[in-house]
Amino acid sequence: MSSEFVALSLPPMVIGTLAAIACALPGNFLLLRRQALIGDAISHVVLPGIVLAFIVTGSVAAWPMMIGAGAAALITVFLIELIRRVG
Amino acid sequence: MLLEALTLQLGYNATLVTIGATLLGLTAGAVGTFLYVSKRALVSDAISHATLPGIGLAFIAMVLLGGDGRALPGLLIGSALSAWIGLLCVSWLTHRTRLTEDAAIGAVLSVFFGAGVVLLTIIQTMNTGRQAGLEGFLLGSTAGMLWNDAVILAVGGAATLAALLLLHRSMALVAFDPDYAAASGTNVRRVELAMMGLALAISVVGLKVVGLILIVALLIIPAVAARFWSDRLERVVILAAAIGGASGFIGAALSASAPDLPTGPIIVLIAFAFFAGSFLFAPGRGVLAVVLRHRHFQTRVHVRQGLLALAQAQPIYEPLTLRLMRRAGLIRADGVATDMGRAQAARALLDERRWEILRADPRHEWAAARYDGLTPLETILTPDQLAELDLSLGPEPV
Repeated sequence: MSSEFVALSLPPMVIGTLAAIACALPGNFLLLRRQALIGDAISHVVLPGIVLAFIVTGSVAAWPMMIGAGAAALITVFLIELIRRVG
Repeated sequence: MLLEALTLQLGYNATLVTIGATLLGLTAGAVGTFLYVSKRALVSDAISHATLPGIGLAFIAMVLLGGDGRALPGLLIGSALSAWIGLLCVSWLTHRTRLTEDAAIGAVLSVFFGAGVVLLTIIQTMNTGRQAGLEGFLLGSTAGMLWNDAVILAVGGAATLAALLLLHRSMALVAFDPDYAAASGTNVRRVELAMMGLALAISVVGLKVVGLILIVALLIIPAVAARFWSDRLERVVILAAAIGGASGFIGAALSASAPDLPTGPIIVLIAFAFFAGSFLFAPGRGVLAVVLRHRHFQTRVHVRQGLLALAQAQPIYEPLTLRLMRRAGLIRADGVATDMGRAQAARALLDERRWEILRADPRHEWAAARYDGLTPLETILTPDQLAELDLSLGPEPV
């Protein structure tokens, strides 16, 4: 292990902290509704959304990725509800 | 190319992977049915994600002991140990704290997986050699599958199936009625741990073929797809094993027939195709069957109500009723009843009046419970009972 393994730099730490705060707040409601694993499901499903956004736009910029991920997450929630009601 | 792949003629590695994937799918489908039926399907997700730190630690331990870091038996033993610890953590969190099971699963899954990723990153920076390829356990790496790997797969799968044969009665009992099982002497906790142990065995055995992220799909999807076809547990188990084996076979063959297709994800997609087909087209429980059954029922109700309206000289306004009755030849295009329509309307009105009298009579309580607006009374009562009922039929009020 080199001495640079734990490199303390501010931007990733701030991003990590803010992301953790943003995730923890809705997580309370998921926990109370016993839907804790929806977060796991959505985080796995954004992968094809991101890949499709890359295929469509051809760039790895942040905005297309996020829109693709958001669209995939919405489709996921819709499919989950569909299978629960109809299946 | 695909045909050669399906008939196992594409070479040594492809044949090995195909047979291994089929065995894995068979066993995973059977075990997954019991997980699904006892509503603990996602604990297997936590178990499979918890194998990652074990793989990293086993690699480090084997390298420190001077051996080959990537020896598969050592890695599998390490993964099994950490998965067992993860399972115990889920069990402890559920039974000793106020957390519900899904919160415990989510916590264990993410913490162990994160620890595993950190360990893999540490391993990458270690200055011992031959550490590439451990990420192959995430999504499966069948390209370098050896005869020894296939033997481990076969032996593990056979042992799991044997354990399943021994335990399936207790597992079914504990899944459906844990209170009765506890009262009749079964050790419920031990049977549940055994079921999770079988899931652990499948996760460990399937690490090389489909990887730890996707093994939960191979456990759950065949069981859920098979559920659409039967209500009996034995049939669902056998069908789930068949669907799992078929998706393993077809998926592995498909990924071998074309370049750049990863084996594990393709197997999961084939399993999902089976699920989608069952969801839509299973007779009785599929979407198509439900929709057809609903339309048939809707037709019967509309025609019955339309006939009653005809018999009582009331106008029919609902366009669906008019269309259905026209199609059945009961009314003409302008809404006037045909001869057959008038005859059936009279019969429907007679049946409705008989039901009215029956339901008001306390002696026929058991028959009155079967009134649903569609069943004719002639199918329930005997002719002499009907004749006695008809004596109470008076003239129609004007």
